[in-house]
Amino acid sequence: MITIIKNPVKLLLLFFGLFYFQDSLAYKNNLTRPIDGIEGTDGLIKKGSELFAANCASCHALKGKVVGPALEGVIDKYEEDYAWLNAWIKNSQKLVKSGDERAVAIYNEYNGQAMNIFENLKDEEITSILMWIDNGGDGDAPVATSETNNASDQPVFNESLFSNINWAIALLSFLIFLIIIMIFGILELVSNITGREVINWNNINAFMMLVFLVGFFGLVLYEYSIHSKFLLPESASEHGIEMDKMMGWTWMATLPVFFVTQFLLFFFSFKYRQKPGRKAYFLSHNNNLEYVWTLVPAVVLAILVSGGFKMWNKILRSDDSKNAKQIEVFAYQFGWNARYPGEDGKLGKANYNLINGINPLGVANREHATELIKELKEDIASMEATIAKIPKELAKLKSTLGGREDEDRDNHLKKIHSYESGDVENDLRLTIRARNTQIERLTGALKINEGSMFTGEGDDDQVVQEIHLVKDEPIRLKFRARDVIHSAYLPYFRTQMNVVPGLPTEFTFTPIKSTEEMRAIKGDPEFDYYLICNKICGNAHFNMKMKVVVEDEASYNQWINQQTGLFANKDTKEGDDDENSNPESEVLAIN
Amino acid sequence: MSSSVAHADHHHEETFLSKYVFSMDHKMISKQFLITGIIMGLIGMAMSIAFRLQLAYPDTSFPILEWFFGSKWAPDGKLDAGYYMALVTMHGTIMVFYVLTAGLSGTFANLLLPLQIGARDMASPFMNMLSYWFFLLSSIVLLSSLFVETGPASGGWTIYPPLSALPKAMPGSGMGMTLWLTAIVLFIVSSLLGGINYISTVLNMRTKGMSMTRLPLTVWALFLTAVLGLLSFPVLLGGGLLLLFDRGFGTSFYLSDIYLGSAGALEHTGGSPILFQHLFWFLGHPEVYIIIMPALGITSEIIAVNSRKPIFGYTAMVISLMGIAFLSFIVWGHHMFITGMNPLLGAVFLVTTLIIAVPSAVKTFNYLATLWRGNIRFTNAMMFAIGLVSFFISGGLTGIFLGNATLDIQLHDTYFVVGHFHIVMGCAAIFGMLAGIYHWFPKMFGRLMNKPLGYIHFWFTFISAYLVFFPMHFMGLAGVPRRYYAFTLLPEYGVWFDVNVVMTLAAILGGIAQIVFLYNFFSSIFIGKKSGTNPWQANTLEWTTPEERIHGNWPGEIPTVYRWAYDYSNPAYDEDFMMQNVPDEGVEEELFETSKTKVNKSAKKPKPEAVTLFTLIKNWLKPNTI
Repeated sequence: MITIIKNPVKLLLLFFGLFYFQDSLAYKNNLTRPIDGIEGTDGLIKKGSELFAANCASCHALKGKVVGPALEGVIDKYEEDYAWLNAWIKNSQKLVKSGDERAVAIYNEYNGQAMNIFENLKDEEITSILMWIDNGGDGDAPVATSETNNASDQPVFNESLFSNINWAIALLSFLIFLIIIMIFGILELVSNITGREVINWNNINAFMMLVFLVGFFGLVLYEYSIHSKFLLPESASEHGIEMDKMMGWTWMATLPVFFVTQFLLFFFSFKYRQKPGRKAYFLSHNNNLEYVWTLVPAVVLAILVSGGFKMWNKILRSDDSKNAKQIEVFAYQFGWNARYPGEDGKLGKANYNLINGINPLGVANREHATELIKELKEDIASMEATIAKIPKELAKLKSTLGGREDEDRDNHLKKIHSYESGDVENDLRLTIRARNTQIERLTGALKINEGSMFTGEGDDDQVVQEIHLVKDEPIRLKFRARDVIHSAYLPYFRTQMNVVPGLPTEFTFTPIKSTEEMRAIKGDPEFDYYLICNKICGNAHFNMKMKVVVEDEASYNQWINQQTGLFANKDTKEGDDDENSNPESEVLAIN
Repeated sequence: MSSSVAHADHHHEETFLSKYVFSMDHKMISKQFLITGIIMGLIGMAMSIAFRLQLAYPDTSFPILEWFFGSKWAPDGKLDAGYYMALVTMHGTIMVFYVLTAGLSGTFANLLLPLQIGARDMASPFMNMLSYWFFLLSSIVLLSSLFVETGPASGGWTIYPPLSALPKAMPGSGMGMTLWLTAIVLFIVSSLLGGINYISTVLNMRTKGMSMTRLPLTVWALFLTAVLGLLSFPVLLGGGLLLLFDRGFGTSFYLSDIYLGSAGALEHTGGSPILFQHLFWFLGHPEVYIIIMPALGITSEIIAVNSRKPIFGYTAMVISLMGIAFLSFIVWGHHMFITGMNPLLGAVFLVTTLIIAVPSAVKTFNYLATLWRGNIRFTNAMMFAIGLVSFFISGGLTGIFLGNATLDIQLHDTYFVVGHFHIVMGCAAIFGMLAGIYHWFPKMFGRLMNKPLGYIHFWFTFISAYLVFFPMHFMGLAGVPRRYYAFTLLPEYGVWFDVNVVMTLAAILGGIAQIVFLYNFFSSIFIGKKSGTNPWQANTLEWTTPEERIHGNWPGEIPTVYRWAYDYSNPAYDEDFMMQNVPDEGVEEELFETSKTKVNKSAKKPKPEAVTLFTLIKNWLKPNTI
């Protein structure tokens, strides 16, 4: 039953897919390997590699699940269903909402964690990503390079640990451990019988304290000798240099205390171990001494406080920052965007209600808002259609229950339950309510004339996927989050600030070392600055990063001039998108 | 008094249920807390080893993980990224709340408060029993979240909304988060029931002669801890309830302007995620001291007993405890320097935070002065107490970096933070707890734990703890962020790969050492050497109770207290200890007071003494007591 219904869907999708994506038909025909020999594919695959790194790598790998599934073999799986796959990649949620069975199944398998919308990706771009995947990625793809970098000079524990020899060593040490315990047991027994201690544990442990002291300090210094070169990387920002000095002062205040007190602790333990006939020195307190070790730390800390206080105000509460050039950094699960102000030098206003596939940052634009309202209304209509179909769907599910077994049956029952309990309907109704609110808010915002967010300032804003900064020019990063709290961490610039939904934050700094200079300092021609996420934000938290380039003014200008404004050529671009998406969603809604 | 003697003599027959399960005897309840705490601790530790394996061997398959967690959470023997987060979250929650708050305070407050102040039981034994049962229920609810389909809470133990408020933001924020919040609400109820009880017991039920200034430092620490808990836990309760409203009833306390990938633009406006952080850390920071203060109290007692010396500067110790307790309420903002809180507030919290280092420093120096010229007996408990002081120094000093808002910009949420708090509150508090277990095991079970096994346990735990957490400071200084499942997209951090391996192996070693402890603990209950009434020759009242550990604690009258708790090696006596209930014979009356007046006399002589190196040495050489 299901297959009969599904097949026409496939056919329709394929039909519409072919019809609407005919410009990229040439690539699609060649999707199945081998692709070699066809003109231009190498370039496409290379482009696919870049696109994958920028858009997909935070949630997917070729092998193994990250947040989303492994993508190896995805072409084989959806060979006949390219149009479906394309629609899924562009806007999986639309498919889910429309009740598409396969989409819902995947959505449920991943516990309702929807894939991000990629309506901004063109068909050719999706094709080139898929081609790149189909060609097995590339050797030095951004995935799985962690060990190759240092494998040459660092010992590799990885595989050898679980070889047989090591198992034998583990077993042997366990046996030795057991034997030691048994010896202790016997000695304990002897001491119980004879009534006196065979081993002078007190002296042994006192001696061990001394050994530990030496070993501890030795290890601290050893670790320092190895890792000092990786600590606090060369500061690439102006305030970072000051901050590093402060760090140095704090080291100078704390390290001596660390060594002296640890020394005294273990040394006293050793020196004043119990000896027969000796009595401890009765000393209950000494006020002067106590004043000294209250006041000295207090004074040292007061100095550190005043230094920290001053610098904190200088970094975060300085009026100079108001004059710096602004760019916006936008965080979402799981990636970053940056927005440059464009020619007018002003960042347009933005609102989360305006976010969709083609306007990922929700920059205010009157036409876009109007379009979006239309789109939302269509969404609502399609969801209402889905609700209307629920009884039919439920009957169908019930009729197909027979003959299923085990897990399949369980899943099916779960599905039936989700319909019967009204969960599905409630979820849809809540979404409809949210969409209605969104429409209301947008129409409201469109009506306002005074203080309206639709100033047109955002039309030439450039939304990009890497930050370019001019060396020695102060920059004010304004942070905005789409969904949950993220944290923008730039270790080389000594900069970190949380990115909070509903609460704009900012950080101003001056980069003083270009990427090239830092590459020379580090002796690593591959080095790049990165902005990484440093506040737990979901399962793919560890994969959120954005490249930061610091360069001279000329190369910056060259780069910025290549970027197109968000709504600059919208007439042609949006027209395409509309034609692509609307009939498609209607088709999906019917099914 | 006679009525209670009668009560102790022929109380009703105890069934198994009333003696071991629904017991209202504080000693039994403390054992219940301890054993539940140990079990929770083992679970938390096992989790940490599982995710440390992932950090050290990101590409290796461990079939045992798949066998244990199932193919859903560890497909092909590799932890799933979401489950890694879940384990980190559950590890944090279990260790902070269930082991180091309930396991530590619950055990030792219950055991020691009545025994050390000379009371037959807690002020309200029934509330005490309820406190344990809420705790157990809460543990069960928390652990049950491991078995829900979408996995347990996985937004970090700090559960910052919106991540924790929106089930669609991550799988762990679904049913798992609801169970987490339920568990915490139950936990807070348990903690409040216990706390009120501890406070009223200490204030009202001290025996004759036990003035506040004669209380052992354990009692002071546990008392102030209960005050902290009573004042701060309700705030988390409020915060958690508001979060439940946001999750379930569509309110917007913490939510505003959110567009969720899987749900589109949400309706919530006007809330602030920062509000939750304020509410959370208003508990969260005192919580750190709720964890460490009992450990410090236990250490004070054990160091004094085993150095055979009075604790140095009893008054200073009490004042610094009070100082820490007070200051801990006005420093919470240092967890939020860069969360988008107004930078002006950041500057204020910077000042208060660094002030709190002063009383902590005083405590450390006083411990050192207590050891100085002592007659140190290395009992198992003493070893752990010394370990605690070492951790307290190492971890306390790194706190000076993190408390400085300017440096926190760089270090926030890096491994430096992980290293810092694991050493100063994780390891130190666990060591305090272990020290307490070794020291008061005779009071719980009437037997001694095996000494050599205790030494093995100590050295392996001590060394492995430093090996795990010390290198983290180096990683943090290099800017390695915490809560990262893998560093695949950040090849720069590949240099820490081998360090991660060392840390993981050390963690496994530490885990094995705990097996030794478990064996020692459970076997000693049955086959340990009989301890006698006062195995450590200590002064405090709990060692005057009979070996049989009867209901009501003392068979006859409750002893009267004549002196402070730290009369060790007093030259006036032949013995090197003098128990608190031994009456004076005129001369030694109010020993503590006489020593004070003597100091005043000598100080009065010429001038208020200037503190110079010379006077320092002079004072050292010239004992100013007796």
